[in-house]
Amino acid sequence: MDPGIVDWVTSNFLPFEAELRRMLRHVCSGPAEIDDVIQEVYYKVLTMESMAHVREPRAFLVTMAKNVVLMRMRRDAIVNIEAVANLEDLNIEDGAPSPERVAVARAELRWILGLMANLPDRCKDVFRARRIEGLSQQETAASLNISEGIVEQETMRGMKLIQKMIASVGLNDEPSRDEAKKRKAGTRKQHAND
Amino acid sequence: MQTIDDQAAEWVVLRTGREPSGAEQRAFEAWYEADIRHKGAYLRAMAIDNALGRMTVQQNLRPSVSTEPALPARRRSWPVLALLGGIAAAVAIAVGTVFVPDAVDATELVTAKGEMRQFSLADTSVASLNSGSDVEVRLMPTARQVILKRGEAWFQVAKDKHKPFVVEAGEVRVRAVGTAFSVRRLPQGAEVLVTEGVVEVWNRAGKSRRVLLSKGEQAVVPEQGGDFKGVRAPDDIERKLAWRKGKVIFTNQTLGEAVADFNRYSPRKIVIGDPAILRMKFIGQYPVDTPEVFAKDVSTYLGVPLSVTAETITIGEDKAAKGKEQERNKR
Repeated sequence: MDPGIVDWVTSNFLPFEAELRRMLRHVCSGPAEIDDVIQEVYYKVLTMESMAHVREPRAFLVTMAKNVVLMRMRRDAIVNIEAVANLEDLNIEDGAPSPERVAVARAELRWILGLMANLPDRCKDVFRARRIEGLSQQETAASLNISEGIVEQETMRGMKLIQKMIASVGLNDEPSRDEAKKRKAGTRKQHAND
Repeated sequence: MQTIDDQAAEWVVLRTGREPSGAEQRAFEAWYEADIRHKGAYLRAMAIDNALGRMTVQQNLRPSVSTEPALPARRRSWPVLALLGGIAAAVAIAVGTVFVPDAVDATELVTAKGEMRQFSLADTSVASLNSGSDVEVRLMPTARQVILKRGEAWFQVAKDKHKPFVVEAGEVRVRAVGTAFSVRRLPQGAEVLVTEGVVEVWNRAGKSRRVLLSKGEQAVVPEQGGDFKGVRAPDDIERKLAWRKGKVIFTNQTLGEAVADFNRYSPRKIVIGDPAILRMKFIGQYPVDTPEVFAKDVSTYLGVPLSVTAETITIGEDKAAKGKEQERNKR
């Protein structure tokens, strides 16, 4: 897998994924379809030759998601034409200048650390050793005095929990505001960076 | 059951933590190739792993975030809001008392195309007129006679046992005591929808028997005799009467039916360029005065062009018009 693409996705898609999922609620039939659409958008990114031409990553991802949803709609026998209207309405409204790149990197780091802080204790210990201290799986097992198999199991468990958190908490979300957004789920427009 | 994202997370942990066995590698490849969603989910899990890895190398910040200037945001207003005022602005024409013989209070109620309006009658009944309709109401000492000359109307009838309320639509008759129902004139008869109570329906010209229709039932009554019967369809009735709230609702109607519905309300006609798409079916609802919005949604969905002039909204290329144009260009 091309490390350039993985890097691009890490910086541009993961922090934005939760927000994109919220936007998709208006045009998808439910959580399962949102999962499918998000995976298909990742796949589309994977098949791109280069991401160098993408100047506005979030707008680009929204457009990709729209295309995926539209293709899915075209496969359906009966068209929910209102969903098409919601789809047309799906846009990033953001004229704000991009923050400094160092600030973005710091915010990203804080975000990922925040997600990790929510893991159960043993999981967190394994992640701290592996990720922050940079130990290998074997070294982690030795330092925590557990088997390598347990380290692998805990890492898998932690990864699954973190992947779920990324689906609901993005870089720009704080838990309290996330709740407020849920209450406002009926409104058509979600603001990107408010 | 494991989600695809969970499976992807497991594969990434397994493959980045240690050397996978031959069997594991083959299982991974089979899983990875089975579905594009697996590939997408795997990229996502790789990126999550990468994000976690960045915590280790934080002293050595290597951000890859673009610092290119942001493109100006494209703003788009939602057109429905701008058009909502349309109904309110429509001109109402209620011609007052037209003809007053002894003890007859006759009133003519008229709506223009695109106008829907509710009228209160002197007996406290209510008549809601759909677009382009004409109703004459004659309140007499022993009867209430309502002549539907054109269009469609829904009536909420005030109870009065001594004065039956009879709607005349051509040769079709609908009689109610205290109830609510609608009558719509059709080229060959009338359609009756009952929303409350019971009505009695018959045809003056033919030999058809009288049929009782109760709440949630509908019938199409032919102009010239012939039998007909009531069908229970409360949901369909509600859909057909959505005009009273200024809406058109589709619950599996074809594009052809949807277009005919919109064209009842707007002087600007929707035209379908390519007849092949007419049978496509829809779910959705729109304000009656937003045919442009509906047409735009359909054209987006189909990926076909949309052209709007003062008189028409054409969805898809109008092949007939294009042919003519090409002929002109040849000369």
